[in-house]
Order: sequence, then structure tokens, then C-alpha cells
Amino acid sequence: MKSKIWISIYCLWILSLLPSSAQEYTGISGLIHTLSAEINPVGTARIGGFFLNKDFLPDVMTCQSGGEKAKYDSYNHFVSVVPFSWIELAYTCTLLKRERVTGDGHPKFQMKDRYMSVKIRLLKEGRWHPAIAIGSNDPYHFSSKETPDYYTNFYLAATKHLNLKGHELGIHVSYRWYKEETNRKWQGITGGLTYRPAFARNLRGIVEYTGNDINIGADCYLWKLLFLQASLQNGKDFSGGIMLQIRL
Amino acid sequence: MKKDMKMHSGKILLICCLSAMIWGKVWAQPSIDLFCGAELNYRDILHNGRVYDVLVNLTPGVKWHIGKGWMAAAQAYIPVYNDYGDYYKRIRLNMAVLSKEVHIGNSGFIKVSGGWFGSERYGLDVKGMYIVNSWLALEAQAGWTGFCSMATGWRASTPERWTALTGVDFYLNQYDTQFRLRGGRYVYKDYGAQLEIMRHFKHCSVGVYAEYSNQWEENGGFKVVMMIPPYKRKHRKVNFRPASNFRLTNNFGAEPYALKMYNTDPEENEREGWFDRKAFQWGVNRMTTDFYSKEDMENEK
Repeated sequence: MKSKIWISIYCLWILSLLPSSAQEYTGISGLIHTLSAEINPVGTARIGGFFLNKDFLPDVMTCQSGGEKAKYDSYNHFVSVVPFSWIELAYTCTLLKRERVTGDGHPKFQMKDRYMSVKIRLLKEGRWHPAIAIGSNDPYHFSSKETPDYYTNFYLAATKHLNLKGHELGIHVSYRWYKEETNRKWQGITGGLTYRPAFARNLRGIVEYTGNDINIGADCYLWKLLFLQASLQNGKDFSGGIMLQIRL
Repeated sequence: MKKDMKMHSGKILLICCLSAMIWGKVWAQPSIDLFCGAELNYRDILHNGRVYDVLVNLTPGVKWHIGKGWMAAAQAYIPVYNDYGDYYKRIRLNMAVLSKEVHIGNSGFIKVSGGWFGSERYGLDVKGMYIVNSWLALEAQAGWTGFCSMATGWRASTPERWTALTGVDFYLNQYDTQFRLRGGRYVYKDYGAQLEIMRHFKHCSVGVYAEYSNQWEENGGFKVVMMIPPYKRKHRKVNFRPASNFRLTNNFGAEPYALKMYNTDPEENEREGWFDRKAFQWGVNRMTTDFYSKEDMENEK
């Protein structure tokens, strides 16, 4: 029985390493698309950017292309900070395509959706109980009122880590509510598993269920400076990014 | 009548300035600092086809610590990348200020500045802070300024605009966190108030702010002040060094004129404050100093 568990964990880790590099795309700590109750150490600051495939983005994020509304791959950039051990803040800009004003008809990145994210840890993880956190992306939509609430959501998350002879298994469960109707496919109970091997604590394998997709990915923190993450959405669509992560 | 009142107020400010200059205290030896920093500006304008417009200026400057609290300072702008347009393309002087700092006991601090300030203003300015206790301080600032710019040749207006601010500062020593609430009349004649919460780390301060202006209504954003290494520095009579800090303010509402104030020091920032760090022992100044010399370390031992 014990060997089966280890084989399963090993397979999970191998699967999670399939992408070449990888992250938490809003700048806030978490898994790939789903949430955790973890908070980075106090003073952690991040600045970085992600490539986000079109299926990773809200369905309402479309532009006119060839007379039809179409989804598109995009990028984001963000800064985040952990000012106190119980709160994490981030500011994220996702690039939006619009038809060029000059009128050649080709959509081009020339706008941004901007939003703040906040995560507050209510309960620190203990020996027997999980960490519990509440949070939100874009709680106050300060971009133009005419643009949709692409990311507005609120959540409650719980995280518990198990130490398996030096290896770390993380269990993450959350409930998320989205304001934008087309994002409701990601609403409800979500969760995932993370695994840090004892021999490479800076490496993390992730598998998660978003409510609509099953994602696998891995992230890695190198030289106490660079954080990389890569993921495959439903095993096929790549998203990934890189960030500078330092302790202030 | 209105003009008489303005002249009367001008005299009061002048008397304040002169009387402040009479006080004196023990000060560091005279020295000259030549330094250079950088300023990053970015904006997001709809319908110009660009994701961001960026303006990067080098900001070389000089500070002459004359002694007894007197300081002469100047700063230039050298644009190195400019999407903002022709108005910002010239190498130009940004600041030329003479200031005098006065300490009244250990709790009263006044700084009087005259000359050409930042944000294209010139005139007179008085700043003051009073330390009530280890977690509470009061502040006030008054200015009498006009417009002055070298961006498109010399242009200036008569100094006749009054700014006046007053505020209160709370400092949570255990968490190195400062709450600053201040309000009054700002440079572009708007009235408003700003609440700022700054968390100070070893060599960096980060914070968020919220503000309300009667002309531009509510706004908010975040601020970052990063002290630039090397942190171990030698104090000579003439010092060549990088600027003390890199400062960035992100304004969510993208309001360029809301609750705007000028700077009277080329390296002014929310972390170092207005006054001599060694004298103004309150708030973030009680943390380990950002910049230290061999002598400072020996004195601490």
C-alpha cells in the first residue's frame, strides 16, 4: 500500500515536470489557477510577467478579428508584496487587444485590464489544522466602468501540508465566487495537490482542478532571485511566466 | 483687500523663514555630494496605440551641506527615453534650492526653503514637524509659489499661489509601519486629503495610499521607495555617489494634477523625510540607518 502511494506521488511529480518552466500568474502565492491559503514570507516582493493562453483567460476577453469576436493569447505583468505575515497584495495588468485606431484592422495590444489582489490569512497552519485564508482578485474594479469585471472574484481557501519523510505534500481546497457570469465555470469548489521533493525544496509540482479544467505544472525558485512557473491546461495549453522574487 | 491679505500673509511667511534661520545647532561638517539617480515615468493613454508611454530621466544633482543646517542643492533632468512628447525632450534644470533646517529642542523641526522647487514651482516653502511621543507626530507645510519652467525656454509666472497642508503621523514601532494623514490646499488649487500607509523594510519602503480631491475626487495607488546601494559609504569633503533612492508612485486614477505637491530636495522621499536623520529620531529614522560609514560603525560599538 505504502509503495503504491509513493509510486503515485512519483508519477504525479514526473507529470508535473513535463512543462519546461513555470508560476502564480497574479503575483499572489497560490497554485496555477486555483488558490491556496499559503502566504509568502514577510517582506517578499515580486515583479514579473506571464504568458497566458486564451483558454486560461476569461471568456469575455475577446476582440474583433475578421468581423468576429475571438479570444486571444495574452500577457500580464505584476508587482506584489507581503507587508505583514498575514496579508499579501498584488497589482496586475493584463494586456487587452483592440483594433488599431489607425484603422488597418489588425487587433493589437494597446490596452490593459488593471486589478488589485489581496489575500488575508485568518488562521496560521498548525500541526493538526490547516491554514485558512480569504482573498479577492479585483475587489474594486477601478478600470473603466464600461469594461467587464474580467477577474473580480472572492474566495475562501484552506491549505494543509504533510511531511512525508522530508518530502512535502500540500493539500489545497477553496471555494471561489466570480462576479462575471462567463467566469462561473471556475466557480465553486476547487483544489489541488502540491509536492516538494526532499532533495529539491525549491521545486514544486502541482496538479489542480479549477472547476472546469485539470491543470498540471511545476514551479521553481532559483538563486533566491528568480521564480519560474509553467503549466499545461487540460494537459495541452501552455501558460507560464517568470518573476524576480526577493526579500526586502 | 484681497491683495493686502496676500501681502500680509507673505510677510508672515518671510518672518517665519527669517526667525527660523536664526536658531542653530550642532551640525555635521560641511561637504559636497555629487550624485546621479534615475526617474521612471509611465502613463497609459487610451487610443494612442501603445501599451505604455514611458519617460526615463537621469537626475544628476549636487548638494552642498554648508554647515549649521544650511544646504544648497540643484538637480537637472537628462531625458534618455521619451514617449511623452517634445515638452519633455530638453536637458534642463529641475531644481535649485537654498534651505535651512532648524531644530527646537528634540521635538520641534522646521525647514525653510527658497528657490526653484520640483514640479515647475518656485518660491518659498516652510515645513515643520513636532514629535509628540514615540508614535505620534504632527506636521505642517506652507508654500508661496509660482510657475517656472525651462521645458520650452524660460517661462515663469508671479508667485502668488498659496499651498498649506497639515497632518498627523502615527508610527507603529513594532511593525515599522507609518500612517500619514494630511490635507489642505495643494499646488493646483484643489483641496483634499491623503491617507498613506507605509511599511518600512531594511532598505525599502512600500505603501498604499488613498486620497480625495475636491476637483478630481477619489483616487489611490501605491508607492515604492528603494534605497540604492552601496550602503557602506565614505564621508569625504567631496563625495561622488548614486542618488540615495529610487522612488515610484503608481496612481490608479492616472490623475496627474490631483493633490500634487512640489519637492524641495532633489532626493526627497517618504522614507527619509524632510529632516536630518540623526536629529529627527522618530519613526523610520529609528531603524538601522540605510547608509553608514566606518566611523558610524565604530561609534555604534
